[in-house]
Amino acid sequence: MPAKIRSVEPALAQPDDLAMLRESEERFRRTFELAGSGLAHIGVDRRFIRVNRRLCEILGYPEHELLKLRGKDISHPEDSEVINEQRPSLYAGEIDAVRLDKRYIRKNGAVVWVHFTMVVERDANGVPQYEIGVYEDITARRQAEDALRLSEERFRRTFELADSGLAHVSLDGRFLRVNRRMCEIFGYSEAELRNLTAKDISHPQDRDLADGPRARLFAGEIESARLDKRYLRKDGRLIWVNIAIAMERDAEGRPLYAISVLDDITERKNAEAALREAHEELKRSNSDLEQFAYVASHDLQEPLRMVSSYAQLLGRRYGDKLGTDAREFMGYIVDGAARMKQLIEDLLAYSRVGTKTRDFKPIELDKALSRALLNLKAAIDESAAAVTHDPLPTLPADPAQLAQVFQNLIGNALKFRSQSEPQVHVAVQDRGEAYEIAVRDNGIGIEPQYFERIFMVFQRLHNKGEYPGTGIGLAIVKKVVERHGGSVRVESTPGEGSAFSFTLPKHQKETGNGG
Amino acid sequence: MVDENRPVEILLVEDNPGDERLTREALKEGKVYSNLHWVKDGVEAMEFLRRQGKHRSVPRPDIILLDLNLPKRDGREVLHDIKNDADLKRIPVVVLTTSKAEEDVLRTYNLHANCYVTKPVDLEKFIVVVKSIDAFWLTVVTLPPNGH
Repeated sequence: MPAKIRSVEPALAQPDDLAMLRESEERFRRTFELAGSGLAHIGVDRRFIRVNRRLCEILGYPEHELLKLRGKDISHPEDSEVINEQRPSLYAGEIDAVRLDKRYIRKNGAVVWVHFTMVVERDANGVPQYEIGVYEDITARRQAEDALRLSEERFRRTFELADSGLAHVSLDGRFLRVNRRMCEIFGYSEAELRNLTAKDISHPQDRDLADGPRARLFAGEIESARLDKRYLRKDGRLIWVNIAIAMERDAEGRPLYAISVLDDITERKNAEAALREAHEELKRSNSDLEQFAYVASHDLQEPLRMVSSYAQLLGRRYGDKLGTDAREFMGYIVDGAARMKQLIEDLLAYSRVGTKTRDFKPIELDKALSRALLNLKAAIDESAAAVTHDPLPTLPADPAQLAQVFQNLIGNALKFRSQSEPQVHVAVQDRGEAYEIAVRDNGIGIEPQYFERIFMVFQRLHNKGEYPGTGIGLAIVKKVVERHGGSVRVESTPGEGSAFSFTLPKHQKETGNGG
Repeated sequence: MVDENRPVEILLVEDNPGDERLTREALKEGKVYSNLHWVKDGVEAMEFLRRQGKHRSVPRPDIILLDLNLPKRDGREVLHDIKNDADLKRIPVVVLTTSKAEEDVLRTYNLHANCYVTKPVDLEKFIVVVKSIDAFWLTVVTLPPNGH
């Protein structure tokens, strides 16, 4: 190219060469215009002498405007002197060309990055005649580089700011890069960690825990792995850490290093363990208690029978030899034993609510109610009670226990009736996930301050002379309902009546036995 | 058929002397013509039934009253042994339980007792129970005769 440019020097042209010259000139022009790079001849006054179309495109000016300008006029202010800084060296022949990246301001104000190459053309005596500038638009490349730099900067900030421990781990397990949080979690400085491997700081029992997942990650079988693992801090304290691992690969898919995200979950693990322990303890103590109640009530009956039976035998055989007082005393022995037997039976019934297998199949509540009413037939007939009910749903429950609930609630409604004829209604309401069943009566009612007490074992509000019973009925109702995942409550106005409501879930959660 | 004048041979398997005496007294009240044989544990019960050891010359019982809570071999095991013995399985067994709850549990074992009786606290009721054993006996004597 420089050779051709030299050939356009008019001074060197001979008339007989004119045709050849014109052809050469034409060839040059086409090359100049077709070039993919921006090209310019720049005069000694720094003005553009000649520019090609590509340069006009790059700088965003039409040719005639560009030819009135100097490169400096349209340079980015920060870059306006960068060429001048190198020009002396070029002119002095110390360098063969100026090569640099600089910014220009396009006519529309946009910044364009250009890779600029400049040589100087001299005459035969070595006097500079003009400069040739080659302009490559590198804006896209610079933007990509800037974006990359920005992204790296953002990544570095994120890496450092993250509340999780972050580490890049080499394929042989060394920490290549760790963030501040990582150092906090393990109590080591960044420099110390970089001299350690993940295994060095693992709890001895969990040392090889990540080997399996890491191998699968390495093999590309899985994208990422997550596990809980124990480590030892620098101060020797055991910590639980949740780690997520992923593999970073090169363009060919070869593993480069592992990215680990680590969270200290020691507190959570401790809380979980404490909760689990407390739950186990509660289950154990509940089951102990039920077992105790069962055994106690069972074994208590034996001596009781002896007391009662022999007191009666005494009365039978020797009653006529005993005085009135002795017979009365014996009566109290027998009566006491009978009451105690009832208490024990009730306690046993109460404890058995929880020991039955929890295998709830859908039952028609109608049938449970019918069974209860059958058992209460004598009491219903005697009190001339009217017992009515809404259509009852079908839901998973223990049929015998539900019949017991109805029997206890309706039995109470009859027992604690007022002067008027007893009316009992069993109402049903759909509560979405559960049904609410209410047993309403027009009986004597209950004072609000006793609403909680009445559901406790052997709690009674009346003396035995007024109303018989041990006070187990509502306790059993509560226990059965709660065992079915429902709850029980009472509403009542003294003198007007009571409504005992309980909820029963439409679906039972899958659980094991017991409860 | 059973000799009308022969006493009903009853084997009571019961470790509590109080209950043994009570049964004896109730039988007296019930006017059942009977011989009450008493063994105190499950091992002795099986020896009695198989006429082993000191029980070489005992009669074959017409009915067994079996308490469940026994030392050594408990009532469930004794019942199992009896019902798996071709010779003994036809002897009616009345299982005496302390509570209704215990009876429910037992039924789930499916041990084929002929009858479950919950020991009552009330003496009157106990006498009724023993009398019902009398009645029960009258219905079962038509089944396999003693000694077959």
